[in-house]
Amino acid sequence: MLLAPAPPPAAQPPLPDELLEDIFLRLDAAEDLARAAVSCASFRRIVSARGFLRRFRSLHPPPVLGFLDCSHSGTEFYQAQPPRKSAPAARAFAQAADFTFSFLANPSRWRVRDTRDGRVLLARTAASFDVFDEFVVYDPLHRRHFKIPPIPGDLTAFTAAAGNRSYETYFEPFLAPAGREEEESSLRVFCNVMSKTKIVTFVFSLVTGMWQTVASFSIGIHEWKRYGFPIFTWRHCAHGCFYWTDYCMKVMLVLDTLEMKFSLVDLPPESKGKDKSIVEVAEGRLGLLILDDFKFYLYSKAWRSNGAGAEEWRHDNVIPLPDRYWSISIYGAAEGCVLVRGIPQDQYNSWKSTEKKPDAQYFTLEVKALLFERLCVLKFETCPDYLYASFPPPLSPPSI
Amino acid sequence: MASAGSGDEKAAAAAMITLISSDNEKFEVTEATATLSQTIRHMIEDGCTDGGVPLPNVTSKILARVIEYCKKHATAAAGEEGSSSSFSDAAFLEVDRAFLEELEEFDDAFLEVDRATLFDLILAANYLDIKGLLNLTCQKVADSVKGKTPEQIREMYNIVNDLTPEEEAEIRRETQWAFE
Repeated sequence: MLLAPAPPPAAQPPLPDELLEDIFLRLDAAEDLARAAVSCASFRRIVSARGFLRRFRSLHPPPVLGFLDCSHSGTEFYQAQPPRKSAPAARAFAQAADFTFSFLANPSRWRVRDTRDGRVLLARTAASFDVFDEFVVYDPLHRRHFKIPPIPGDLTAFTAAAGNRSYETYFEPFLAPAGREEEESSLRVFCNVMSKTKIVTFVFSLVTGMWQTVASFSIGIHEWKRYGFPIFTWRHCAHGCFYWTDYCMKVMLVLDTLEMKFSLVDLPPESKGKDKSIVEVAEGRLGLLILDDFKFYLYSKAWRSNGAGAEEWRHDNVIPLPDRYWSISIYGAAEGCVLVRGIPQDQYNSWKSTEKKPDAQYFTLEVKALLFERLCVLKFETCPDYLYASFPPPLSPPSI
Repeated sequence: MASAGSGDEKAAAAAMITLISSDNEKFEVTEATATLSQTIRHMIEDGCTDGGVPLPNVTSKILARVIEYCKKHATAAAGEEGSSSSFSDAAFLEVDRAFLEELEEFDDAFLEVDRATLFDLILAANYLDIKGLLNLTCQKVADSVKGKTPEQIREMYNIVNDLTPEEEAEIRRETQWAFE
């Protein structure tokens, strides 16, 4: 390092804004960005600009801050705990965010149906359990919400034509993933409506302010439902497309959101009867994570290979889990992470004799980096519904 | 320059470009070296490089360093073109790897400069539109910001804290999580 006499500090940074932005976008950790913002007024201005934060978010996945437990008695946010690196950010988020949904007239009639990109999708149950007549998109950090009108009856008339009674029609609303550097106004909500033999996807876009039919799929004489619930229970999102899996089925249902087409894709026979998750593994590859016998089995195949099953799944990796009793399934994924719940082996053993309920330990697996990390330890009764990833304030601009 | 001689020498002479720094120093470089700069490439394409290319934003001290970088990377680019046209057997791959390692070592040594020079290199790389150099220097600054306190960042950028005490208190409260 050459030693030059230090010039006196200047009021203006040594580089123009566009170059400072270029440098700040290369910081991986939100903590570094926040500390830069405290340095001087112009750094603060650059870092807090919405356009900059959108670009930062498109380059760096937000940290996992916790998960939502959405029971009928209310929605609870459980935050990441130390020694997880995101624990301080999670605490700041938990203090600033509101999950009581107090802006709703009767919050107990609403249920969280999806979370993505700092937004929560709520739906109000109408006459029957899974028919929704109203939707709200909510930003819990900025406490803003946007009401979405019901899907017009003439669009869902096909269910009655198929001889469905209302309780036999199933609604599944979900949020479309935000594109890179997308504006808040690009918000889109999907809703799958299932009759006995047909599934139809509707989309609501904030730009048009309307619901439209975008895709549909039939599987002939087979029914979509078993014991009154859809066969494809678990929804996954990877590469901007959606995948539905089921515990027992040897196929998954895929919705290509670019072409707006449904297809069925074969799964490896080993996946049958196992907990599984569809994840992004690498550029252009789709991953399948199977939880079996205290190990994760990672399979992958080319994404968007022409024709379903054009390429077989390839077995890539086995990821052994620490010595715990891995009780329940792989939970919701966010930002390349899946959540699993384990019970310490000794507590599991003594549970049977003492009936003292063991702790639930939650871990995330970051699939691309194969990083297995503890998220939090909670009461046995907790039930994670949605893994929650976000930048803490003030690095999260309003999403609505 | 070569006023007489073989055709080869004339061709080589024709492919030389003169760059003129802000303090009026002249640098003779090959076209291959100069065209790592998109700005100069466009000037050559427009045929306005006769009599030299004045670069009023770049001092001779910085221009000398930028040329050093461009020479090394122009050779690398020529080397890559050469090897990609030939069949890539193990020996060629070995040569490629050795060359890339050498280039990395060069870049690391190149970045061993004081901060003021580093910022000047960023400004020059931006003005001359040299993607590789801009990438390298911006990444170096970003890497050195990682894990630093606001006080250390101020010292690094040589800037004063111009936030009012109220503003600073507010943003420190908002970003408390980043200091734990």
